[in-house]
Amino acid sequence: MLEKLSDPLVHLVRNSLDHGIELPEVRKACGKDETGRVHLHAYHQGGTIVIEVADDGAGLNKAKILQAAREQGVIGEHEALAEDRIHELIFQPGFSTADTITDISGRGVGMDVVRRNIKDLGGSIEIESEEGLGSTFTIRLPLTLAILDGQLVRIGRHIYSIPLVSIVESLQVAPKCVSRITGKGEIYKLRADYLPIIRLYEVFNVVSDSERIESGILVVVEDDGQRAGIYIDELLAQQQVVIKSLETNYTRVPGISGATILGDGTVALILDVPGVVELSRNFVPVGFRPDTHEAVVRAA
Amino acid sequence: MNLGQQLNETTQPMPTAAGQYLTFILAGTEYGVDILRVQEIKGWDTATEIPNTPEYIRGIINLRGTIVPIVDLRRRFHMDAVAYGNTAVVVVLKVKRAGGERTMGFVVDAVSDVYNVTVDQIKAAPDFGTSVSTEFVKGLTTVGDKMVILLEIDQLVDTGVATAEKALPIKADLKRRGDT
Repeated sequence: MLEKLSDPLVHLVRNSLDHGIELPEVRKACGKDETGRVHLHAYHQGGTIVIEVADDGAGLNKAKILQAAREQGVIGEHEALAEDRIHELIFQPGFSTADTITDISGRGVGMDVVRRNIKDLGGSIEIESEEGLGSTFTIRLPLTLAILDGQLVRIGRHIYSIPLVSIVESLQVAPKCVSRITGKGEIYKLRADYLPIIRLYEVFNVVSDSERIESGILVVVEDDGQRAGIYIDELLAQQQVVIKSLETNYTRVPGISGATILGDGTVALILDVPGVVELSRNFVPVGFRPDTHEAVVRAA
Repeated sequence: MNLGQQLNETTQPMPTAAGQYLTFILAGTEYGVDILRVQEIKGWDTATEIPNTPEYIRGIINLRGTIVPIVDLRRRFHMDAVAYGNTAVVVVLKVKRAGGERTMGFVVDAVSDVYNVTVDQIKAAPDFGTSVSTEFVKGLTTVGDKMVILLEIDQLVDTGVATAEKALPIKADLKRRGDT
């Protein structure tokens, strides 16, 4: 997997440096910092791995791409294209807009290979680009062969793995910190913060040891800057797990990003934290939405 | 395309069905599936339940490193649930779907036999209208004095998983629970 990924990544970074980032004088003239930046960012999102290559350079030059496409006969002389269709053109084999061929890029071999490699891995690539502000290439790969650090948790007789990257902390619930909003959504006061409580057994419709909140554990998770407390019965071991897809033989399940096989041969499900938060939002409409959340914080 | 297939295409609704069938027992009745679809037969053990799935999906198991979902055929056919004994088995079948081939397990009461069935031994299932769903019945055949129901396994899973997928947007389910 890594072998197939390294070439596209190197290529994207080269592209950002050569096509994206402008020369210092040009950058200065545009009012940008003379030093260009290329950001690489990788993270889990839902059931996928996301890798972003973002630069603060010139962005894709749509006029230039269109002109080059017309010259190379990729599109008709007077064909008009939507913005994302124009961006798509750079994935055409042999397509290049570079005026001069440099050591780094401009030979027109590249983006099509990048896309093919990523497709071979079952992934996709997207472009977001603003002229003058920079471009972001987003690669999404399925979580198949990936390994993940997981925290095993137990609810009743069910064992789930929560990705460690999503976990902020785990704590025993102090009942006095629990309050309810309009009698429905439960809120936990964690230091200066208010977290919505997600009772996982409710969301997943399974039987837990106890419904008394103080007898379980609250796992504080964070997704997109938004925190929530997932209520479970017990914390088990932390363990690296190999992610296996549920979709190969079954179908996508909301709140679950995959499955894994534990040491004893049994199967545990891996939680998709954003998915669980989403599920719980549908489950407890009041008290979880950011607006009500804020309202409570203000009231407090 | 061989003659048999051509013949069958012209004389619908009987699809090609001749061949060997593995049969299993469900609530006293014998059911058969195309033996070429059978990957393996294994003893029933527990499965890891998947939240918010239809009742007849028993969960998933680890089949030598592959995650395989288990369909409870009794529940699928709305029969009375029983506690599975030590004769209960999982028949692992290869199921063809639009997206490719899937491996799925089916819990049944017991495995019975393998029969050779020729096309003329297969009778179409009588039409019950909407009272009994026969869309996944390929046909009926007689072995000795027993009736064997031949199942169209792709159809079974297709409708099964299709309804599962439909049932998945949990909002409706949750709304129902929220109301109570």
